[in-house]
Amino acid sequence: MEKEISVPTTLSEKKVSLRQLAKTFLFIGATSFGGGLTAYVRRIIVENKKWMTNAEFFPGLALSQALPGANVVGISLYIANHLCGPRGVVVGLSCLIAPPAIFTFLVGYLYFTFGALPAMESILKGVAAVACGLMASMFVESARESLKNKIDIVIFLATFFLIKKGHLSIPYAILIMAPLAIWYYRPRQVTADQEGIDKP
Amino acid sequence: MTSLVSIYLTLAKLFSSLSLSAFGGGNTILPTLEQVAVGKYHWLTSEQFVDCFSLSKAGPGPTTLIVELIGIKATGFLGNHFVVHAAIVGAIISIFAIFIPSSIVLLVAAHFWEKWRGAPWQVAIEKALMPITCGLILAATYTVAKTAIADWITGVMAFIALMLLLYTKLNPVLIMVIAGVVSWLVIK
Repeated sequence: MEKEISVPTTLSEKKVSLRQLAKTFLFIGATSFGGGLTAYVRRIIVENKKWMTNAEFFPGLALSQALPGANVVGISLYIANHLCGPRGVVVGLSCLIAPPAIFTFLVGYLYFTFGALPAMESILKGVAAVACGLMASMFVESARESLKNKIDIVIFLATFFLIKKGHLSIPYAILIMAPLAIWYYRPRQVTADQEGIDKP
Repeated sequence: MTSLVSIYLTLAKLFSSLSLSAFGGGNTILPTLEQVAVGKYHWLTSEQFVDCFSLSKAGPGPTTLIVELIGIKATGFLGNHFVVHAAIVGAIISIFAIFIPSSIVLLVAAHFWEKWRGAPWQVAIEKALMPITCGLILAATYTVAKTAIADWITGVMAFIALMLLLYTKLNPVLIMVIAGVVSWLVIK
């Protein structure tokens, strides 16, 4: 299903129909086991489908992490809106949530009726290990895409240590780091002379 | 019957307010959720809450779907036996309440993000967010690794998965299925 041949594009100029969007999010929803789901979504949308570039994906991920709500729902909403607008959001999120919601309903019924967890622990250990590999692969891609100079590396390390060593919650870490980083990358007035020097 | 309706209302109010307070992802609401669902309303026991967390974490979809399990328990098991339609309504109310409010906020943000695409400040914010996101992802990877890598077997599996994902075009689902079978055979 994911093996469709698609031509790589530098920018996501690709038109995606609501039907394609629904199909893909149904697939993601039904197969999104074991955590690290944002990495799974990136793998499907950016790598397999090539509907979006990393440069378009990662800011959306930041947006969904800064605002309330489950991250995988947030990034899926951002993708659906980018590709198909608000109608895509309704279709995409319904398709993302419906399969796991039905699954959860059945599991919930069985659990509360019979009072035992299904014996899946050893299977899930392997799945969780892959989810960990998925997250790590997203980190590698993100580092490739976003660490372009020394300042980027400083911002990256500072964010990581604020969360891991400073035990700050993610929104606070963003609240501290974003103004500094935006200030560094602020749009600068380029005078005609400088422009002449930069681009001979 | 009136009691069932009042539970529906309670679920809707509780989950929609939690939806808007879930800054930094779904897991941040868990302590409050336990306090209210277990401590205040006694919809389920502490052990059941912990089991529900494991179930929703391992199952497909976001861990936030734990609210669906709570909704089912609170509405479907009021009498001596399971009432399907009550539980379905409870599940739907819980899902809508937890996802819709936060989604509306994000949709407004995403709308303006797309609208201003290419504007100088938007480009600046985009560049600024890239290394920050990279830091957030490393922090998340670290957290996932701490629970997922329990011994050398899971460590090796995670590493092989990473290599396959970076250097092949293999579908992650295929890798997960293989890993699930391998760990079922090896770990026990």
